[in-house]
Amino acid sequence: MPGPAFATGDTVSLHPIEPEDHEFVQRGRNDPDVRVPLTDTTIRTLSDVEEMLEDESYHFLICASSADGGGREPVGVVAFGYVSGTDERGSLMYWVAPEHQGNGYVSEATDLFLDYAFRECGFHKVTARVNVSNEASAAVLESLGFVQEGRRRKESVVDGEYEDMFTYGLLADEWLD
Amino acid sequence: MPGPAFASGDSVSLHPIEGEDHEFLQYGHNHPDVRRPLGSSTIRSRGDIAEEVEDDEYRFLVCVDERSESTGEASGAGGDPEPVGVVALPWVFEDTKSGFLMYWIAPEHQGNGYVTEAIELLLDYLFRECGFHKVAAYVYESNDASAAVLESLGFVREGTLRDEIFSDGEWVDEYRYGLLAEEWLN
Repeated sequence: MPGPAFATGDTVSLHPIEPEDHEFVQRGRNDPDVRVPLTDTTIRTLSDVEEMLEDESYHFLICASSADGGGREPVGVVAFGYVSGTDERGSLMYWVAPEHQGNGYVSEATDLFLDYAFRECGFHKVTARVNVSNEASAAVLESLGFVQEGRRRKESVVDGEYEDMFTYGLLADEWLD
Repeated sequence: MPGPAFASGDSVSLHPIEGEDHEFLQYGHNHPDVRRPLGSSTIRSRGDIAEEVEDDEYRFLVCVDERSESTGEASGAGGDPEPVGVVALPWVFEDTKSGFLMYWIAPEHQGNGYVTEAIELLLDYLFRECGFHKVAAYVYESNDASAAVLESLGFVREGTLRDEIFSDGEWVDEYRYGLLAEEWLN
């Protein structure tokens, strides 16, 4: 069971990740519909997941009401995959398990996460990268106010070929205004 | 003394970094004229340097022929190599065969074109021998000299990252550059 919620929106809430959640994280990260758009195709064992999460301060579980009405269930993860040395710049990462996609969970979860990062933790900037073919993810970022800052040529591998990636950035003063 | 050269150009050569070179690396990294444009404000102990060198597969010493520098005569046979800087890929992404480029030349050796030739030697090694697909680099928006080096080598500006780095008391933009193997090899 996930730890207690520390941020709650209309449909989703954010929670610290507990060891019992590692199996969910493993299943999600290893799913081709998640790992390919995430551009991290590493297949992880349960202990790889444990190791990955061990030193992470900004990895949270996204939970929503379960379909059977019995409380909350994990649907995905929102995180900073990387934080710059001085903790002022975070690189955004998110995924929702395939069976929970299409419900707008990612937008609301990212919204809660950005509030936490900018208002409480004092981050100056949040960056994100998406494959140019991933229009859904780019639309999420743009709806949240992210600005496209560049196009990295042939930066990721999709379906056996190199693909360009857009790089996005959102500054604290843009979010807080 | 630096290890044997594995790549040599007209004026500089690239060498593996040995324990005796750590003092030079520490001096360079911690120097304000190096660490500021590098965006690397961490002050390093000798142990920090040793750790960095150990962790990085692609971190090399840039040297000049000591005699050629002092007398101006043609480099080649003879004098001991003198370290003048470092070229490295502090970040390597194995899955996409790409990495970020980092370089610095000690203040007293700047302005001799060493950096351009050193990067050229490194890129040849990375693209021709190691099978790299792409090399990226970041420079402060105000660092015209460094941007000019990259552009002269064929790097393409791929983005302007707003407020990306803290420098001299304020947030400044950074340019992102990229060079693909096929561009280098053609």
